[in-house]
Amino acid sequence: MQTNQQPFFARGPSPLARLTVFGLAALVLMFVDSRFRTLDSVRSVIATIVHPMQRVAMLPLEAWRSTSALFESRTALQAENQVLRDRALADAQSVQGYSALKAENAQFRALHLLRSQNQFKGLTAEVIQSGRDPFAQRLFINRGSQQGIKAGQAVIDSNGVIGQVTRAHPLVSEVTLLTEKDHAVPVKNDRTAVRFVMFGRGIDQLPELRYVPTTVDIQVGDILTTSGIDGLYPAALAVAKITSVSREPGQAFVRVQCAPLAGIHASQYVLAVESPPAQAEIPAPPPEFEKSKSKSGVKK
Amino acid sequence: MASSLAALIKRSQPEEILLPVKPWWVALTLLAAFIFNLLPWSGVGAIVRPDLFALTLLYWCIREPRLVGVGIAWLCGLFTDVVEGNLLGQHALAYAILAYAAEFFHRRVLRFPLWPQALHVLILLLVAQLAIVATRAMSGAPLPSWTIWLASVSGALVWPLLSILLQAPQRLKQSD
Repeated sequence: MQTNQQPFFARGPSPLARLTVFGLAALVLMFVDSRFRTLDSVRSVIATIVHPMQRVAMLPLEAWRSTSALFESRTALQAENQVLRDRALADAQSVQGYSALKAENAQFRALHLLRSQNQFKGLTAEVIQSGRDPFAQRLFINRGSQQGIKAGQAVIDSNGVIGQVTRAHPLVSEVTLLTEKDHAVPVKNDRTAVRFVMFGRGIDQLPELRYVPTTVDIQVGDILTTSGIDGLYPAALAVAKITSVSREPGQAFVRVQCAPLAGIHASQYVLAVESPPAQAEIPAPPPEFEKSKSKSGVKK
Repeated sequence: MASSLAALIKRSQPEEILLPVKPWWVALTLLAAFIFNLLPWSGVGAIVRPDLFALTLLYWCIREPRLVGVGIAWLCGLFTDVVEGNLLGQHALAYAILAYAAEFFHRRVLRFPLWPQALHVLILLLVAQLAIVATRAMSGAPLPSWTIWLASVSGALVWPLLSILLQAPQRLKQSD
């Protein structure tokens, strides 16, 4: 009877057995990937294998762009040129003021023995793909660790911060957008210089400021810029504009929503900004404090 | 063109005898579908675009269960997870389930003409998507809007066309 149960064709383990094994493997992978960062090397290997295919996938769009640029009309180009020239002129004034201010600021900082603020350097990159996954607020750019991108760098477009590099593979990097759920950006209100933390809230939701006390001066239309205290985002990058402030009686905090200034899903070219140099070390505690602490430790 | 396509869909009967498939054709179509998924989309297209990679996998799982099965589907899912920057294993699980269901149903599905086949495909795609949504929800993501299910519907709609395309090299030469 035993022999009758053997299948006529040898087909290896049954589909159900295979599903169980692979399903469990997938669950283990998900668990490990969400808790530890040990799988990032696997990711980088696969991302490098896949890179040529990503390049191929970009070809149709590039071809479309270059042909449409070819046929762009003379008047449209002239108009664009005019707009750019006007903008350059408008910027010239503030840039000239800026260099004077910068010199002055450097002098003041030297007088007050403050660490000088470094100019940030950036690397331009092109958005190659914004994921299929509707949950994730993520995109990929065509520069990676080989070009000097590191995880944690801020990514901006011409209007403001888009997000942050979360994984730098050799040739591409993954950027998490400001709107990703619970993605936090330390910001400060430009008008009042009060610092906040902005949190993303996921698909189709505007980011919000959390833990804003009811007494804080905050208005619709205020511009938020990075405060630079986290050591990842350089200071003074534009982030968002406040769109609604609602103070509800009985609530400890104000509900503040803000709209990102950058074209989060629209921009094609972005700049990955180098993180500022490491923060100054926390000064060592005075020796008396150290002594009393060790004493109390011994007593316990 | 449209009428000839309709005729082709009608002519593609379940009992039609096909030439044996060549493994390189399977690999090539999977690669092409993968690249299709990588294409940058925007606007409405981004919402309704079908997951062609899953669909092609499903096709080969149904047609050639000896060649493409749970293991290959799992590996394909892993690649998808990397290019989308998901938690590793999410699509791997979904595609493995898809391949298993295809293996379970493949005798039944192939008995039907193409449009009823598409209905089966719709259900299988929805199950695979449900697996993705479930794993996402377990990892703490908010529930997405209902529009994500449109990807499965559009997938089922392109099924007949995809079937005809994928089996084109296997058709016997027009001698009748």
